[in-house]
Amino acid sequence: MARRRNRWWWGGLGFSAGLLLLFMVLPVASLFLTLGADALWAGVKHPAVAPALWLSLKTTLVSLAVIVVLGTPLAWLLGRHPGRWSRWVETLVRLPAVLPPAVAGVALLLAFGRRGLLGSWLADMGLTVAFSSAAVVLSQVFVAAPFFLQSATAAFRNLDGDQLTVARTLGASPARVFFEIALPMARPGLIVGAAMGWARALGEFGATLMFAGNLSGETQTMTLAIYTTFESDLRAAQAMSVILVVVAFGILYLLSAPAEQLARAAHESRD
Amino acid sequence: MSLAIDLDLHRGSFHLRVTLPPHAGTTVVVGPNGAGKSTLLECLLGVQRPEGRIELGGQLLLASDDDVDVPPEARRLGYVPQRYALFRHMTVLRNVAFGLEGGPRAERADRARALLDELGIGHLAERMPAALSGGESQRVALARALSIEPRALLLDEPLAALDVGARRRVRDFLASRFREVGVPTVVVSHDLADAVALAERVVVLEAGRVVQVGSVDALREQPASPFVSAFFSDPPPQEEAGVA
Repeated sequence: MARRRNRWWWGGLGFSAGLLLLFMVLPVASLFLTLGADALWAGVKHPAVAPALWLSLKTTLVSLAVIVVLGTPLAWLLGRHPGRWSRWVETLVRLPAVLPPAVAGVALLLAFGRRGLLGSWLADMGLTVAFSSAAVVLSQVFVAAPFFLQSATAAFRNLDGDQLTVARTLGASPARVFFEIALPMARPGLIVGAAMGWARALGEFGATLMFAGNLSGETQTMTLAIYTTFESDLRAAQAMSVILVVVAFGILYLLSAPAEQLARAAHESRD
Repeated sequence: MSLAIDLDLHRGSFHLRVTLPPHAGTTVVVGPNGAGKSTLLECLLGVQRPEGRIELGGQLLLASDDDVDVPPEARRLGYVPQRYALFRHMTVLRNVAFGLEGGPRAERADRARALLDELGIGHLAERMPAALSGGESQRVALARALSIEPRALLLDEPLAALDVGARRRVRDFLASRFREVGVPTVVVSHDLADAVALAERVVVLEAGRVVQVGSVDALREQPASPFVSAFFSDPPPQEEAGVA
């Protein structure tokens, strides 16, 4: 009865929620529904696909390693030893996540390009970064690091400070406290951050195109290969898109486990 | 062994200034919220870096004039924080073995097990902290603090997280433990019953200053501040109401 009286309310809710859901599902579904298994296989065999897939895998894993190895200490400092400077630093390291990709590309070129701030100096030593696989990695690190840093910083910040103090009083050095208490306790947050960073690196497009170029086998990652084959062979572009969607969905699905763990840990430390 | 404290800490607008003569037994520090009780413990632990001197059994833990500041991991102070802060990703046994140094892993485990047995919680060894009751967690935290054979014990509100029934039991347990361990012990509490059961000396801290030092009886007879007289008023403010 209440339901009938409020049918405009429920109807309105259902209509707008359904409309958005449909809008978001339809494009993804089309990727799958308009491609038969044979066409998918033919697309996968397109000569651009294998090198792009391999390059994407290689570069994103290197980027992820760089981000985690260098980002974890920074996140620890930001999370556990905040100072006057930390708000500035935090804003700075978040910036690449919201910068337009074209701006990131220009910025990277101006820093590491042949005539860039650091690039000209590197060029004198015989090192060219731009338009190489290294440039792909730099682009990915630049845009993806913020995702890891944000999650990792929050994870370290939310640790129970008393546990860290107790560990010290039990004779543990700061390094031992970090490795044996802080890292395991912050692990769900670090995993979520690493996965989000990896997904972002995999999807990186604009900065890579401008700073690394679009050379097959060297700088042409999956997203660039999709962009390139789109005009000549739609099936290949579609096949690669399907692969990326499946990977992205897999990451998000696997992440729901640590994310839940994270929420539970946050709840426990509050009570 | 006795503990002597003379320290000075500025943190923003907060100023902690505590001077206490050497004392070997159990000191209960009471005071209103924000008086600096937990900060005092942090100074003793070496987590805060105050000016002044802290001397424990003839050893200087802190002497800022002489550039002495022993880091927390070398002070050998047993610490039981307010919510026990058990390491949640380790079993009870590994919690207690964390501070044991030297010897093979099996030997450390044996020593940790012996300590758990001594405190009557040997059966909890393989449990995870999340599966413990408040009273059990408290004993594990105490076992962990005792594992390093501490030169002093520091406890922050050791009973606040327990329900009233458990509180009385644990209080008696702690009193007998402190006597047995026989090292200087500092207990932060805002519960009068803790002071009565545990304290050989009560220190009243208000707004970062020591307002009164003495036995429970001395404080009851001549309260030096409204807080102290309220502390001893009937009914005692904390015991019935429980802790917020």
